[in-house]
Amino acid sequence: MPSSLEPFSGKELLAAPPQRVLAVLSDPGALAAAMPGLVSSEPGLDRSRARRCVVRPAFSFLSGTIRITVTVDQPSSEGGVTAHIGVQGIGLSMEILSQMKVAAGPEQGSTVDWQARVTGMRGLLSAVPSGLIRGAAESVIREGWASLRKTIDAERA
Amino acid sequence: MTRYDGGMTPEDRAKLVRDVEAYCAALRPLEELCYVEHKRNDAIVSLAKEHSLLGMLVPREYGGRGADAPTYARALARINREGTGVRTFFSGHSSIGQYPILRYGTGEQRKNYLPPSCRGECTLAFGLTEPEAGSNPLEGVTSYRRDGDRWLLSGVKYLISNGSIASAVVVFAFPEGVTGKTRRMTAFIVETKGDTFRAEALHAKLGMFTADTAMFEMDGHPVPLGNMLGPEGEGFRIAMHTLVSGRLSVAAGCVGAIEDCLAEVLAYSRERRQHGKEIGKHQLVQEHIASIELARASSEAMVERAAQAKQASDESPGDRALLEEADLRVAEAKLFASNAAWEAADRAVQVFGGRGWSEPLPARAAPAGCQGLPHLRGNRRDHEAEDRGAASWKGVRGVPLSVVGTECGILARGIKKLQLCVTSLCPAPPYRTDPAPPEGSTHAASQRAHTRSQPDLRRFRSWGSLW
Repeated sequence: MPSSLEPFSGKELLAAPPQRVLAVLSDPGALAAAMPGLVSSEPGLDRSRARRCVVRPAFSFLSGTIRITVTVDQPSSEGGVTAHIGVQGIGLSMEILSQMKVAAGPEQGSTVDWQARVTGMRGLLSAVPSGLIRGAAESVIREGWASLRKTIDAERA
Repeated sequence: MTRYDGGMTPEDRAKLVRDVEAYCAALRPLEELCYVEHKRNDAIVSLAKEHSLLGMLVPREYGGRGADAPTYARALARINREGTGVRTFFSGHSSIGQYPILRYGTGEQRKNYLPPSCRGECTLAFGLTEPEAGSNPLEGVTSYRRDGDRWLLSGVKYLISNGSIASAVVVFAFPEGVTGKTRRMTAFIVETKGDTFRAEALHAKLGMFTADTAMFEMDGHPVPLGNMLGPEGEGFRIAMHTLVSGRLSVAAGCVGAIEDCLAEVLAYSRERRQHGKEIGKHQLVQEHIASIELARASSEAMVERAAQAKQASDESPGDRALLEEADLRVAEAKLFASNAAWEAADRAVQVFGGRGWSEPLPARAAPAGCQGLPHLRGNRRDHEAEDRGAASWKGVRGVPLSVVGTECGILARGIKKLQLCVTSLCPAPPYRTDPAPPEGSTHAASQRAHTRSQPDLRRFRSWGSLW
């Protein structure tokens, strides 16, 4: 795995209250629906905690069919959510650990401190420069949060 | 083993020439557009079907054109003038797709796959390379096991020409769970339909945008028992022999790439004017053109020699000495011609100047298309090693074959002669303000030849009997 692939992290400010945000972020179906390039999504083995998706990324270096599994642990009492994401394509696989902490934010909204770490990468992705992987991942994360924000705000409305 | 005899008559050969020319003429505008749009050109296959070019090297008894190796190589050179991506389709479908089935297939396998592949009903490919097994295919991990009346194959193949458009692929795999000396590669003809075979085209390439380059994964993919190609455990030998055919196709294609560069720079150097005259009259431009022509002539000669050696080997299948000779000549030709094509393309871009640095200009295709050529069908460094090894075998121990033909004196004399030749291709303009040059100078030669109206590539061809 490229040694320079540092974890991704960020902080989101949302207008919805923490309970609402936590409910969406701990729903594997909602997380799956926010994936850019989503083709299909269905419940996983543990129907309440897991989701199996098919995604077609729009990157020229990664444009084939990718299968993704999302498994979300039970949220902690302190508002922490952990999601395990498995990525598999022809000749490549990757595991990502995502941890999110939801807290009360300004004006009755929420803050989400999140971190995502690639815990395993095999096959053809290993040959891709880490800068390119980081750029692509940041693009996916940005689009994902934009989609989640719409979902959360829509429920509020 | 089947004796390979195309049996091509002069009339058949002439018809093939006409069909290839017609194909190229029809394909060009589509290929140009697909190239700049970075899209696969599906017309490569449909037009080839229309012009009956999908079985050039397949004997007529199986519905092919029955071309011998030199004729097929010349056809590929002509086709590569339209683009390396175009020629790559034929390399994948014919040179390394049909060829191993023809050479090693049973009567039934040849009957099942060769006629449909000639009619355009079945596109073929060759699946050897894996993500972790490139230069050394013995490091492959694709496996097979017997399951009743079928084989089950599992594994990933990578950088496969025609990989996502093929109906059948010649795939190489190792017996599941076997290690050590008994772990020997076996070849199979694998049909691609079914959920257990997934292919994806690769798009992030530096060139050959119009060709299909793909990877595919087999997950317990069923293959009929009768689709093992050749004896079990003989896959490596089949693969290496097939790659001689593939390597020759790349070498022949390189000749076409150089011809394309030459045609484009000749045309451009006659129309572009700077400093009061056509740029073709400037000596440094002439040096580029002369070098490109030298690359073309020498590559053509090496490819012709290699094709003749291959034909001799194909006609005597059991003759090991002929096979080794063909292997050496083809490796030499491919190493030389691919490097020569890269050099020619670089020089062509120089002739085009700043305009050469844009995709729609003709010569733009050349560097990007040529960039992959030294690596197709074997890394350049592998071939240098192979050549040195072969040179040792031939008793010329220690002489790097890459030095052969580059003796400075011969090259310098050759370029000077070509500069005179090229000068004569640039006709004098209707007006002349220069003083008359002294007799015997290069300018005098130019003036004597000023009635030539346009560059005629055929005057450079030693294959003049065909094109």
